[in-house]
Amino acid sequence: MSAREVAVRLVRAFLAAGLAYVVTYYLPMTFLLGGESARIAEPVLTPFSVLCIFFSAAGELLKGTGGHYVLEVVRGFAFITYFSLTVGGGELAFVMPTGGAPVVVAVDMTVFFFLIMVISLVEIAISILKAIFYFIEREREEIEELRARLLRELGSSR
Amino acid sequence: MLRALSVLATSLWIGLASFTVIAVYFAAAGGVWACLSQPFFITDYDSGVLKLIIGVMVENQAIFDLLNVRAEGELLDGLGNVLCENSTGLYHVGIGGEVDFKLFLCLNVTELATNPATSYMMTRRAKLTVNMTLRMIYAYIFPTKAIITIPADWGPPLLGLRASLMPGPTPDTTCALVAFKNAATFWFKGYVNAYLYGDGELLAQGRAYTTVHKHESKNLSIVLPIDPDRLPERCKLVLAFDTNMFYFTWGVELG
Repeated sequence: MSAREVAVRLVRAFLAAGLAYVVTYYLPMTFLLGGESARIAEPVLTPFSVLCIFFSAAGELLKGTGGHYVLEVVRGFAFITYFSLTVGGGELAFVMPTGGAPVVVAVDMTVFFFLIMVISLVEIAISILKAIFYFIEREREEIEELRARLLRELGSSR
Repeated sequence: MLRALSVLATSLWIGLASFTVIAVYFAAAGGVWACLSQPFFITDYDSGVLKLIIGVMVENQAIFDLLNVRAEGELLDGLGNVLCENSTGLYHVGIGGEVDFKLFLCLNVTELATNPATSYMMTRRAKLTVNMTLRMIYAYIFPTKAIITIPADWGPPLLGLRASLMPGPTPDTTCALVAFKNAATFWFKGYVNAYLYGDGELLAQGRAYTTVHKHESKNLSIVLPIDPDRLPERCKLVLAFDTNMFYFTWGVELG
């Protein structure tokens, strides 16, 4: 890989990380949530954003390599882990201050988590299949290369 | 095949993310509102039940229906005794709609008076707590509950209940003087029975009919057919309040 290619990959990784930051953290915190709700959402949103930024950048760096598929599998499991840690026992609870007594709001995330799990598992399966096809293809190319070299060597020896 | 699966997975991600973002946006922007009234008591004099009522109003300005909206509540005293609990029916709040309903917590005063753990509430003020839970399914996939604790004050119907004996209107009678204040949110009427015991045996009994209004301080005298000179050194006066709202017995050692 040439220095130019590395530089291009770095720039693309940087841009992907920036875009992920804007979409997953800056926009929600600035426009979607405001004031108290932003303060409540921040502990949940920050690790999610960090994961998105990391995997966006790493994905761009490893694009076109076998590591990219491995990274996709890791990403699937990382998001499953993140959501299972975030929703704990299936409930996301926070205290909302009101004019009177504080109100505890608890959101049951079981259905949401189930959907995340299903989509993540589908993605993991796709990534594993892609990785298998990628490595098979690479092996085939190597075999083809060896075959061609062998035929060349046989032809020249005759 | 793999490409189709990838497209499907990506579409699902985009769909779920958009749905969640929209749902969170409308919730955070105050699209769903719930208001509670201050709890207040009304009295059902026919059944001797006090009803604690909390009004609930739910307004939906979001773009998803609110399903299975209902309120549950329990009333506790300061010692943690559950005095009563109840829940409302299920309501559906469509887009742009609102619903209001009431949560009733029915407190049977006789049950309160006859339960040793809660009978203190007949003669002493208490701090009550209403634990209320408002449940709903928001945006079809987010079952949500809001829990709020509301304090409520309890005024007893026999605040500062005390009794003593004194010579009656005739030489062979004794008067049981009973004093209390009705600090409850209801009036009551009925008999006050007085039983005088000495050495474990009933010496005399009498009764008086009374009506006690809200916030009224009452002084009753119940005539007992016993010569005050024949009273033992130590005796026990037991009062039984048999009223439209409650039945309550209370005893005091005298002498």
